[in-house]
Amino acid sequence: MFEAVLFYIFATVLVVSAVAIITVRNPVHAVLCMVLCFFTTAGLWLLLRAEFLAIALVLVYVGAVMVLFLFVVMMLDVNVEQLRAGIWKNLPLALVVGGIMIFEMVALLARQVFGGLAPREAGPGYSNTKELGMLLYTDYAYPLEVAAVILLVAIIAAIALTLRRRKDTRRPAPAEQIRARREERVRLVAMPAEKDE
Amino acid sequence: MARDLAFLIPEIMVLLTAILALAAEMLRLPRTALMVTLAGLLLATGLSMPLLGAHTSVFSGTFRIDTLSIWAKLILLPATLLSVLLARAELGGSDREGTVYSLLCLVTLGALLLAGAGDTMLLVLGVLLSGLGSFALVAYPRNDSATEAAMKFFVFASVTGGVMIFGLSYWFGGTGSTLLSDLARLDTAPVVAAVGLVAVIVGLGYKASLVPFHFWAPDAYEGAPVSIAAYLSVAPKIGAILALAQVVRDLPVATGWPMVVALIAVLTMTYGYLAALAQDNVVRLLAYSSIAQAGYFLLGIVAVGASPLAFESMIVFAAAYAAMNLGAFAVVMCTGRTLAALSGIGRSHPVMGVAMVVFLLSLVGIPPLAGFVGKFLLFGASIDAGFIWLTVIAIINSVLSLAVYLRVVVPMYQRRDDARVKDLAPMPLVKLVWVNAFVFTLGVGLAAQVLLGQLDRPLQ
Repeated sequence: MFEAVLFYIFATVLVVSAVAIITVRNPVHAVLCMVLCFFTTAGLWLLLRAEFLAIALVLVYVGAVMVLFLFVVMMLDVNVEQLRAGIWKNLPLALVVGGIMIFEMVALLARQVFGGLAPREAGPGYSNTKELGMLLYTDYAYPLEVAAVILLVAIIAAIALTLRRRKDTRRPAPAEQIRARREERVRLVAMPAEKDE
Repeated sequence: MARDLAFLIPEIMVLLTAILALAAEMLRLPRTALMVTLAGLLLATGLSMPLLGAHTSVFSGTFRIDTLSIWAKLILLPATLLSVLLARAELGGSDREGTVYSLLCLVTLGALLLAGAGDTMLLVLGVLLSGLGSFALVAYPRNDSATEAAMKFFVFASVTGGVMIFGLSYWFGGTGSTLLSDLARLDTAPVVAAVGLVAVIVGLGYKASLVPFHFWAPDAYEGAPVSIAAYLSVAPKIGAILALAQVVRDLPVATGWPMVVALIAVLTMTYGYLAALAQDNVVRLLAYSSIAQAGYFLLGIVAVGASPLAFESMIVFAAAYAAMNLGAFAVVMCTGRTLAALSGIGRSHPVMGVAMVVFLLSLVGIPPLAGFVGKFLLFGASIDAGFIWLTVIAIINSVLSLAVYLRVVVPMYQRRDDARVKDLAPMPLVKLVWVNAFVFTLGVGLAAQVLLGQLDRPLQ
């Protein structure tokens, strides 16, 4: 009973905050709503006894990703009116796409396609973290390593594309300065003596 | 774990190569980076040899060691080696040369993952890995056209990647497992199977540049350095096609995937060649031709599970395609990107001219060249599978393709306008590449029987 009450509270907050993300005018407020959204989702997951995922969500998304989002939004100084200008033009297409997605989900859920997948009740002493770790580092060790390689590629790509030696900065090159010889810099020119008139 | 890792030695070698090349680049030793990459790729190819004949999977079925994934290594690693040589000839001396070699290795790693994927998770990761590296390679020159090409490529990849992940979640919902071998459970849930199938075709189809997910290819190839375009038309494409083969292998036929794939094959072949007819830029022409060639691969895919020839034909055609396409791009690197630049080449550079003609005729599928052997087997496989109408359309398209490639060949042998012929810069590395590709294209055609004997019979 208590769990059901908690669920409905969380669910309401989640839906309201999710709607708020796309309706509030101020992008900073939208990001804050998203933080609330994540927090509530973490709460829901805790109710499902997925404590590891819930904590990871709070730590990673709320703690790191959203702070970055907030930072970017504040830095970028988005012009809200300009963003909203296109909304009516794109609305019909968006409605069609959204409609199809809703239809697909309802069609699948209504026919109980996923019926066989009710969560199993875990026994006492069951630890999500341990189970996840076991799976990740045994069965899914290969995909996990590949994910690590993907991060490496992302770093290489970002550095290769953005770090460049700027040609327009004026800084001394000590090596070149030391290597300089007198012959390169000084040229002796024989000039005819000027006649005094 | 140790047993599983032993099967992954070639992949680990490729990763090590990439990291060593990066370290050499960090120390500003681009020559060392090149040498390390070449040696590493050769070694990895050699290390894949002992795997031949294995038929198993590692890490609880997430990665398959079978005919497809082993031959993918034996084809893609040498192809990457040739691409590295091309890249050296084109981008050597630029600011961050070593990262190019490193990224080429990593993208190949992604393609190898796709070719052996036994799990939807690896499909996603393989597409991501080969995609991320590719964007950086396309954008490498950092001029406006390269950046624009990379941006188009990136946006397209993000959207298709998102659709793929969304659809794959349905398969996970339907089977309760991410393993491809559990897809047979979808027998009772056709809607779920169909949603996932569409998503996979979108995600892998973009990578293999199947119509209608091909829009990025001509633009990306045109904006990218020619060597990178050559590479992109070979490694990620073959990886994605083999991944599609891994997926449909376990998918129940009741979902109707053979018909869907056959229709896409028709669209891809026909549209690719028709669009190629209208191109004046040889790189764009080859881009559309590589789109059309992807359609031929699908003839092997429709036969998966229905014909014992399916895997063999795809492997033989992949090897032939890699050689002839890299060869054709290498010649274009020597001459220049426009059809006009090719005029008279056949007379002023007879050997290179003959090589180009061989590559193009092999792309058409004229005996006794490698492309013929590949297409012949593909046609055989699709007839075996009962897709005779598809085979007929493919043959008609081959005739159409003759017109496409003759548009390149004819100006090559036109009486040259002596005033306009300029000496081509000698490019020894590029020459090495097209000579190798030439020998292979001729050699495979002639020694087709030997190669076919080497392929172990796929277990159906």
